[in-house]
Amino acid sequence: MIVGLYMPGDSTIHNVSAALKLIVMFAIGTVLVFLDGLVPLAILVIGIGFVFTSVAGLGAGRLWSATRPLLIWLAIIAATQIWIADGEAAIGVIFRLVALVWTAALVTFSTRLTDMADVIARLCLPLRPLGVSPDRVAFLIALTIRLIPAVFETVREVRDVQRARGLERAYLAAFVPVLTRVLGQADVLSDALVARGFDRWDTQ
Amino acid sequence: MLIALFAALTAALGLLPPIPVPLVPVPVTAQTLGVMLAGCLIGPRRSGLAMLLLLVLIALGLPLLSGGRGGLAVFVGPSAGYLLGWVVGAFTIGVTAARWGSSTAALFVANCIGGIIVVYAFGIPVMAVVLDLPLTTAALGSVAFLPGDLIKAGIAAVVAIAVRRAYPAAGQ
Repeated sequence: MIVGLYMPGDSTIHNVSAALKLIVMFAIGTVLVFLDGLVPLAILVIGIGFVFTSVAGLGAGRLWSATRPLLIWLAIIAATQIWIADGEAAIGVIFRLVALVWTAALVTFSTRLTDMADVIARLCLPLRPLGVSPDRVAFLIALTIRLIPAVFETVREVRDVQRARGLERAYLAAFVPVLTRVLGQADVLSDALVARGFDRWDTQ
Repeated sequence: MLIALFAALTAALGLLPPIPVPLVPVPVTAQTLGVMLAGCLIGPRRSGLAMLLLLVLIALGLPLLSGGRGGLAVFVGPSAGYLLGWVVGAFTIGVTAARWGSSTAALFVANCIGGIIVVYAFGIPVMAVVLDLPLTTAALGSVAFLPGDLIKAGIAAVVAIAVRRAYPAAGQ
């Protein structure tokens, strides 16, 4: 089972529409490009952190989990910026990055996957003349979410088969049977969809 | 279907634990193998779309990148460019692989062009902008990933040839 990053809640942030949240996120991103000076940047970072932990009620633990993957980058920024510029520049770059990542994480944590998928489907509407149908995009998204555990299961099965034959550490030998099985599954799935009324072309 | 399956496969490769490789300072994740394998096996259009589909799923809030990362945050972080590079890179591998026949060496070259040069060409400038670094410094930092990516380009080429032999419909 693949579990999304969405954290259920009933805050103002949770109840705002996904489209509006994305627009605000882009707005903050734009503001960050033009915002100069450490004090306004610091105020923005603290503000976003406050909205994240308290207004949206996601707590400090979530905020930390959103920040943790950045730590190595923050270290790199600190080292390189102090080397090529100064400490002030380093703090500026760090504040910008943290503000942007926190905002994006806030949108992801507070928005249902289905609401986000609706926005994507709506964004696809102008592409309809190019042959992109929102329904097909939505179907592909749903299908792929279902297929990830199926593919992972295939990987596990092949590893089990090889382990039973004494090939515990043959990571590379696993790829070929996994891929041939996946390609075979594609044919089966394609037939199943054609049997249910999809075009053959659609199922390639 | 191949689009969905290769998007799922690349996601599943990200669930595998990173393999530590001797002499390579950064852990090598299997995920970019998915990019190269898709390019070698399902053609340019479908492999590009498969990567795009994977990025959409990540943007929707699924933790499908290696290490359980995901959500919109990865698209504003320093490595966002590499993710966009996957789409164009997989497409490029597909084009190159289709044009230059089907030997292991040709696929290795295709993987190096699409999976390394194109992906880095997107990744490095974005990283330089996000981290406010000169381009050369960002490029220098990416060198750490080069040995691992070269190994993956080789693995993907060998695997893709074997899969094509076992499943002749692939790669067309």
